[in-house]
Amino acid sequence: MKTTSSAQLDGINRRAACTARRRLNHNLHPTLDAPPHDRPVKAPLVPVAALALAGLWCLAQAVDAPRLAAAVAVAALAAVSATSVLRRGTRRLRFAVLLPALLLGAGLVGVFAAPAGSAVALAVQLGILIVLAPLVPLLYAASFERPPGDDP
Amino acid sequence: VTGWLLLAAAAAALAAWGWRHGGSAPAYFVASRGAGAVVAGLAGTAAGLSAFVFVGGPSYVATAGAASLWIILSAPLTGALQCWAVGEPIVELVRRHRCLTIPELLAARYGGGWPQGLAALAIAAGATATLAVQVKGAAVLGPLLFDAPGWLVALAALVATVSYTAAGGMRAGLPAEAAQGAIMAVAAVAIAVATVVHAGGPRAAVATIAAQRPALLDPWGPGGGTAAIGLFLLFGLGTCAQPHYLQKFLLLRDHAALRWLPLVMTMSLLAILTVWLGVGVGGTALWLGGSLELRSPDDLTPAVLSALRSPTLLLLTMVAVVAAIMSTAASLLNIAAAAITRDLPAALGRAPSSGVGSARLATVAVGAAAAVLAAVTARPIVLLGVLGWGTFTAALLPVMVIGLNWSGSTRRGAVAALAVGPAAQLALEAGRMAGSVGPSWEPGLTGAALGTAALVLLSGGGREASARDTP
Repeated sequence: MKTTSSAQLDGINRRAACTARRRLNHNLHPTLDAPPHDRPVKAPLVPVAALALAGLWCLAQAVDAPRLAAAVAVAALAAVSATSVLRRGTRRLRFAVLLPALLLGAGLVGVFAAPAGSAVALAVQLGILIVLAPLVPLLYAASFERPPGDDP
Repeated sequence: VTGWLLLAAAAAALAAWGWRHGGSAPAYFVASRGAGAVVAGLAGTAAGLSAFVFVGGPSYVATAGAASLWIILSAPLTGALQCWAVGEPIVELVRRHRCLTIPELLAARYGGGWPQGLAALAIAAGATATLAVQVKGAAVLGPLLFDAPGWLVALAALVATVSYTAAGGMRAGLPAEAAQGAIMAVAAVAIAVATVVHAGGPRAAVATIAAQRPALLDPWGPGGGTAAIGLFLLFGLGTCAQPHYLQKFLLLRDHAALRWLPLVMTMSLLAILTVWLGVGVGGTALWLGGSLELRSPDDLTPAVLSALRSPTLLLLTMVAVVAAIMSTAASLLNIAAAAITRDLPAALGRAPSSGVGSARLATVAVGAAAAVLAAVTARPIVLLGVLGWGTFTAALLPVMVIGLNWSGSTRRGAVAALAVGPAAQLALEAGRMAGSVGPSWEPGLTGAALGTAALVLLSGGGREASARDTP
């Protein structure tokens, strides 16, 4: 019959105590080591994208490149919105985040393409406001999800 | 005189009601978490928009033309952006930890001490500077709109706001802000429509500008495209870092209230911003067409109101401007008082007081400090305003957007971001004033970019377990 030595028992006890301490600590401070949602964003995409956007924004300012600045602005707004996609990546939410970014990008292209001194650029600016103002909040409402366990 | 007496009576009644109902910390700082989407959305919009929208915005159109619109062009996106990036994580953190302030959220995420203390310092300093902008703005608007000494208008608005905010905190401030937001929206739409109609309609107004001064139709303006896009991004992303915006997520009754919050915020925001567009474009056309005479572009809104010859519109504008000043001031007073009496003591290891007596005193002290700052500073209002917005953006954007959404961010990275961001922003602001930094550099966004780099790099790219950094 296989027996357990006292050294092995000590090891098992130490591991059990360690696990209990970790569980207790997690119950006391559940978010000290994690963001407050059910699917913590661990993807390396977040730090890589954040660093890339920060660097490109500084570059656009350093070389005074409006088109690069506009591209970074659209990408940054989309990336910040997309943090929700990483948390709860439903198809509807992806669409809700992507569509405004595409429309905003198209609008900015239109402003850059407008003839100087004409009212076309102003019309495109107003178009961005008029199209996106009702669309974006409605897309948010349509893609909204109540998290499990959300009690009033 | 009747109007000021009515304001004093309303403020006194609200203060008395607030004193009775705002006696606990949750009531005082988060209005007992009873807000739904409509109240929180209207209050958030009112708190976010100052009197600058009614006077400075139209005059900025007269000065910079279409380039001025980049400040408001992100408005359709900001409501949903805030909810997606920071609102949903904040509501979840509040559900778990019952946080009452933004620095308490960071303490829940990263542990107490430095993260909470640095965030509280940034909020206390930035809120006092932004409050000084409101006071100084009221002083400038006094002679223009109210035909009264500027200091008197500023003092009246500040004393009224401090009285009910000190007595009842957000319990009194929240319903007041929601009502003020509704008043601002109605007034803005009425003035904008009347101005554009007076100018012959939108097509005629734009045609006049195109004929008289086509340079105003240049979408980029004298600062250039990069500077214009910088303003667009600063006022888009920056909304995720303004503590008086974020505070409204702490007031929500539950997660479900988030669903329609962006719609309420966006619609009320767009309604109020019609004054920027309507009075800006219509008033500029009237001015260029010779119907108005201006001593300076700042006179545009008063001159338009004079040309419209409508006592009702004039009264509505005066009420809306006072509402705009008071709503922004109330939120700033409350978050500054919370930072001073709850977060800084907690960061130093002391337990915050259970009552709200010290917060009431701190509210009065912050109001007095803002009044003194407004009186002694020589900086123009716009510079003070952008400085406050940029400081909040540089300090809080990385830790709020990345910190609340990326599990790899660590306490060490967060502390670095909270220190590096505002330091870089203030250095760039100083360089700008000295003329050594070009207009393409936006200090607030650059500070946030460097803070982001500090957060990511000092978090070890996410490889280091953040629990190791927590106490």
